[in-house]
Amino acid sequence: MAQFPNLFSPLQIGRVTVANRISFSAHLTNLSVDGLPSDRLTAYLAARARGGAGLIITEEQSVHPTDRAYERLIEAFLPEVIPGYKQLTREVHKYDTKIFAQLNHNGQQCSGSLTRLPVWAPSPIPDVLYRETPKAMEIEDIREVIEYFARSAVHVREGGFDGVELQYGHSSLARQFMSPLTNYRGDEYGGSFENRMRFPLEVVAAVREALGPDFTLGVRLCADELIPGGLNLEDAKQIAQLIQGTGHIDYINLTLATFYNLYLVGGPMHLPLGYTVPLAAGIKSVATVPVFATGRINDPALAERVLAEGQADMIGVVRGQIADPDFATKAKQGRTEEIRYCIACNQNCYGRVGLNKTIGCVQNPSAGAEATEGEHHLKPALRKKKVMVVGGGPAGMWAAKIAALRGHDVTLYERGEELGGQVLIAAKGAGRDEFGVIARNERNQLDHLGVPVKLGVEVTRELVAAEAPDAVIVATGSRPKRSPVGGADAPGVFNVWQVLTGEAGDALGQKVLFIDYDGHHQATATAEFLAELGKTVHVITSSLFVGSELGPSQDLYLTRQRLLQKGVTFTPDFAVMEIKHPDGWQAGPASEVHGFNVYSNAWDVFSGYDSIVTAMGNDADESLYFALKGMTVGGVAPETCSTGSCSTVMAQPTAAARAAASADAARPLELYRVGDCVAPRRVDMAIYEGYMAGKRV
Amino acid sequence: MKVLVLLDVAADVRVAPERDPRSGRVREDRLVREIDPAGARALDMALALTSDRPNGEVIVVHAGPAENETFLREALARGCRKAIRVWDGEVAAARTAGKAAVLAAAAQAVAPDLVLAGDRGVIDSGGQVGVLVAARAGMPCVTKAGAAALSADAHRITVTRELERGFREKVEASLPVVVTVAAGAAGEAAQAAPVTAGARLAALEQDIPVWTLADLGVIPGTVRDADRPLVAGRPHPPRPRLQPVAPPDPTLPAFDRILGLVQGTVKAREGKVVRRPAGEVAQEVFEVLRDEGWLDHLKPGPDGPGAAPGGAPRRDR
Repeated sequence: MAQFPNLFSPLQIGRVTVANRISFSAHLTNLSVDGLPSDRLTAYLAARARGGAGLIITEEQSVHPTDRAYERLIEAFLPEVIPGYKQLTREVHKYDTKIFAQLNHNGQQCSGSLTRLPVWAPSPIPDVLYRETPKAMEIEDIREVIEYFARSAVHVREGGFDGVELQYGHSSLARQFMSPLTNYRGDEYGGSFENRMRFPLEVVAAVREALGPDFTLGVRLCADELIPGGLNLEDAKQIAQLIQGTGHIDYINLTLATFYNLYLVGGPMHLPLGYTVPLAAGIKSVATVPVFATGRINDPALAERVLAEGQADMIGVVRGQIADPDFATKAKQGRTEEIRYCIACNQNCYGRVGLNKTIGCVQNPSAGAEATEGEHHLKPALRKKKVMVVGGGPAGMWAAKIAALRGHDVTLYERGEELGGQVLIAAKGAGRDEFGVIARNERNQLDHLGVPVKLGVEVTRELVAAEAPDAVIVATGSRPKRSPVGGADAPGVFNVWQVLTGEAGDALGQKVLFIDYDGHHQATATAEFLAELGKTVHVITSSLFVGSELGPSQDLYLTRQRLLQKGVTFTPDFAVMEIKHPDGWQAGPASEVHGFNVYSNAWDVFSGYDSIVTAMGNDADESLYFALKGMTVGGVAPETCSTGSCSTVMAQPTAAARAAASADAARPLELYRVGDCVAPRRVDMAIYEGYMAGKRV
Repeated sequence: MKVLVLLDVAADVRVAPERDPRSGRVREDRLVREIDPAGARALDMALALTSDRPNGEVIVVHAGPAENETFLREALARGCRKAIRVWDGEVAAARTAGKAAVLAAAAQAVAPDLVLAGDRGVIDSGGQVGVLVAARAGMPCVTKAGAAALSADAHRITVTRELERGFREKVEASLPVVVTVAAGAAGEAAQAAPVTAGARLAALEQDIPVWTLADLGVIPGTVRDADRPLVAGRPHPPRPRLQPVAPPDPTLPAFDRILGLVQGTVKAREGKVVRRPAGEVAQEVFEVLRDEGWLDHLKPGPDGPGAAPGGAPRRDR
């Protein structure tokens, strides 16, 4: 606590005193069932309360039947939500944590295909993401929504919450009324600033009246829509002053952007830490109530600094607490080395919920399954085993950690000189340095647990026989796949690993043709890496566009922007069929890449490049697994028996000797295979399988 | 122009190591050894730097047992003027810092204009020996050299450093200086100039003096003391003074406002080259750190250890 005095000081928000300045702010989880809070959602939020968060703000709770932005949205306007709310708040209140519910109507930013109702909005302007023309709300519609906001607020209060947050941010009907970009009305709810503010102010007044004066109420404002013609920070400051001037609200939470620029809402790894703090500082300069900031504040030191500099009063640590539910407790106790820091990869939080899957986290295999999974649920092993974990990548490190936590005698073997596996290579991609934090987090955990790590050791069947472990967990990873295209074996044709590790070196030359079969960061971050070295890079892909897999994690826009800024050019829709080297076997300017457009079938040739780089996934490194499969360990080796030592044991059948003989008896090796050596996939599966193997061994 | 090369010997990683079938451990006695690739590149660089200088000579020094003399003779055959081997019982047990203490003493005895060493060995991959030698010998050090050129008067050297992710940096230094040489990209390391049979025969005849620690004037126990593990204190990361960020300018177009957020509000500072004697450079660095608040945690009082963050007075800069 002495390390972060501001972060762990209490904050008065209306009638509520929050124990510290760390909030788990509103975010989509997809953990509801049939429009109601579920046990999974309760366990998910309660885990963060147990982990020390001062405040939890639920994901948006819909206030009206016309609002359905996605399938698994909780419907606060139904009285049936109250029992689930009571269970949820009861579990959170077991800890020193307050919980607010966020109420919202998404307006144009939702889908009628889910409700079978027309989408309601201030004006018939389709949203850029949903592209559905809404019905312009009639006066009666506006009054109905205001009434439903008030009705939902009563359900929240009945459900045992400590406060209500009104979502006026990046995805909200209220913002659509406030913004000249989406409000073209000619009546008293459109036109002038005062008219555009009428609906949000009426909602605030109605909710306050429904809640009474003794219940905490706040709003989440969009600090800047960041779109031409939209609201900017000056507008947001005026809005903040007007809403707090009503005397109805107790705090202002902040978000930014719209669906035109959704990548700014949950900033990916390439955005700087605390990138929204300047906006919070702007609102804070006019606010008389506490201001909440959120956005890539993943470190207690940064959070402390934002508070100390007076730029916000409460810090939203969302992804940081998805990755490590015990973030707050560890920070409070000064155990900062033990925090599993979020890397903003967005692959399993934004990346999953955007695809209608339940929330997850690449680094936290129990995210979304807190009722049954996670370090808090581990049971000590009934029999302590000697476990060899082979491979120091994410899968191996997780397997070693979990097995050690369960009390096994674990040794981790890595053939390289450093733990981290492919994470270390991925982190060399342009702007992907933070990916390496995955390895750092787990190294810290292994250090903390005192797990022996043997670096530079190639594990063989002979070594396993000599060590005679009870179990081996094979996590030997994968190697870059050889391109099946003719001519791709030539010198001068490189894979991504050869580029990122520097092995390709000067042989890359100045002009590089990049063949992207991957669509993910492996391709784009390497192409950008080459561009940063000053090379001329052209990327060809058979996909519709380069970076085709980067949409769900919100990386696509900025990746393409950076590639273009660095002079990278693209050819999509192009299938490579053959690489020809007329001047010999070495790839070079004379090499020709032949292929065709996958839609027109028109053949084309790329030539004049000094080298060719391919990104096309990996092959499993499974040789050790198959070498160990079916193996027995222990017992006395035949040559030892021949010396007579074996018979010596058998000749003295004391109880101790019998026990020793039993322990030494040859037994089948308990063998597991996890991560890329099963099938090369992304890091989340490696970590999940490592975790499961550690649990099962 | 006297160039001293610190030579190390390493296992040849191209030859698969032989393992003990019982323990699975590598059999050290069966390893095939060679001049460390980075050291070999340092040797090549030394010979190239002195090749067109009439008074240029390359001396090679190695701390190792008698069987390693074969590598010193290899260096002599390549064109070194003299080879020196340092060895006694205390050297045999030396680890990285101890070996650096021995080599630093040898460097001081030879008094070269330039010391070249491999950046990092195959086995000892810490890349520390050259740097520690420089520190012990009181010489400046340039690391990760990929190429080097001497000025016409041989008073200055320009080094091209090979940095992470392929970046390169040119650094100029006054002699004498220790330069550690990068091993280079895979496959590039062992491209030595051809050696004639005559040169090899001559190298076999050449006398290689063996210096002990007593010859070098190293006090007994120095090597052991150097190798003694460091005792780390409690980390106390420095914290700069608070610098609240300014809200973005709302009058800018949306695209520029987004760029402002994407690029962050912290502006990269421009580098500053200080060309003064080492003591004055240290003073300048100290003043910058002090003025920017990076040393506040060392001060007693409200800014010192245990003080509340944010309690530091803000200064105009």
